[in-house]
Amino acid sequence: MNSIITIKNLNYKDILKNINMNIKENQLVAISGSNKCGKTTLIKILSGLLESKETILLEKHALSSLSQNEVDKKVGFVIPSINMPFLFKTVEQELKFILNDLEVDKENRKKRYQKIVSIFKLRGITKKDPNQLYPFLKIKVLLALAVIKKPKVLLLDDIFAILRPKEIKEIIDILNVLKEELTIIMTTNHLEQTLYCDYLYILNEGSIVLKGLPLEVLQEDSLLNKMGLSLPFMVDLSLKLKYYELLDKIELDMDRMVNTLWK
Amino acid sequence: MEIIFDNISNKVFHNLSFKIKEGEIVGITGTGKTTLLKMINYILPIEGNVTYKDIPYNKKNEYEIRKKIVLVESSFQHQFLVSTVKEYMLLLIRYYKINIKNPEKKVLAALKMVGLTEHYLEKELSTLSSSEQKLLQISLALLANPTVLLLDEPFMNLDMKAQKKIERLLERLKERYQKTIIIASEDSNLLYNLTEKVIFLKNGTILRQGKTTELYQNVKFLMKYNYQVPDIVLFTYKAKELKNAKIDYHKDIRDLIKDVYKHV
Repeated sequence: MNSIITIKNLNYKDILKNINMNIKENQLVAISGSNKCGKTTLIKILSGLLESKETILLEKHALSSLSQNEVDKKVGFVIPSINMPFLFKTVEQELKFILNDLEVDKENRKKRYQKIVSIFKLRGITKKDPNQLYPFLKIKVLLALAVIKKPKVLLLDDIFAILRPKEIKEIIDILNVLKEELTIIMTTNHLEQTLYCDYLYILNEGSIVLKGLPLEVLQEDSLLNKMGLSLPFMVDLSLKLKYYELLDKIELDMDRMVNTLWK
Repeated sequence: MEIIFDNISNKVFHNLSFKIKEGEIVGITGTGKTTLLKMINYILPIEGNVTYKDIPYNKKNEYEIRKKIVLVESSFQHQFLVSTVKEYMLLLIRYYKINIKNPEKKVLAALKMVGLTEHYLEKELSTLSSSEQKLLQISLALLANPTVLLLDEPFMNLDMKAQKKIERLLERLKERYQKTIIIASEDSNLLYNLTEKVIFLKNGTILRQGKTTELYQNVKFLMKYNYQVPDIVLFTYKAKELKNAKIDYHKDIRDLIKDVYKHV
């Protein structure tokens, strides 16, 4: 698999220290850590919102050598904490405005619009005012706006904070479809949401302290707890049952776990 | 009784009736919970039989009620052009015309109540972390010496360490200062752990209300009406239903493990 983003020895003020990352194409990558670990700053640097002279390669080009316009084309982002009002009165107008930047003919633009509306299940709300939508739909519209112009990378900063578990699951499922055409990097301080990602980085006080497949990283329960992160319920339960030798591996499915315990 | 709603109807709700006792921790979940908090806080107008400590909700008592029942919103929004914590708190005291002889002393006391130290007074608002912001929000709410704290999704954006800290603070406010605490949230794990009573809203009215443990251990009810089941309850329920396991419902995962150990 090719790398899409390579970060070498990134330092930023006192916030990020010696960050090295190698993000592979078409993966869903999670960055987690407690409040103030530096994850939002990292997303802002990758999206070009904060400037950094350090070596970050985006498809083998130094990020700092690209113009804002070029970065915008390749990178889409959703950062709900920067609360930007929508420009237009309907979701459809909003999407079509961004679509105009896509350098393809009218027919393909139409196809792209239809595809995005269908992936995000927006059909029922295209005529609604995006500023009036409730949080779940607003986040979906923000995501649709970020991916409609076909970026290579999608950066998401803590987009699940105000959503319910079912809504979060639906969005993670959508992200897993989207990664066929792009690479996604998302931050969250809830490890529950990293379970269905391909790779996980844990940041603490600005440094990467753990990385790997989510299920491997999540085995480091005492270290994670010390950093203020709580394990997903099923992982926590599995590890505790393992300790009492009632289980021999992590089991995420509750029915299967019950069946293993009470044969 | 601290707060009584007697058969209240408006545009959003119909036939709302509930009573909240002094010093209780109550959860509200389901559609309309933020609106209900705003009604209890009397930011939204209410007509009908609503009382706070026998004081009826009406125009004349509006200001007094709002000082005694304070809302902590889900996110910290400050619209004043001030930069430090101290400036903000002093401005708020003037803005809400809170009658205090020595405001500086009061500000410090309010900070200490939530476990923030003196050196936070000179901190810039923009440099506070989400958990410090939440603590500050609660300390601001305490400035007017209210008896009821309303919290809307208090743990949004917080990591576990910060969440535990706020949970302990709320318990302390109840135990030591006899505050009544009402939490609106969709997080069943949180409500199951922290509250004594819970109100389930649905289709503009109260579907069920009662003891937290009883309602949250009623998995069939939760599933039927599409409420989230607390993880620990769901596991126990499945073990009982699928395997006839003789384990009990618990709040703490360690108690659950001990019980499982005995019964597998």
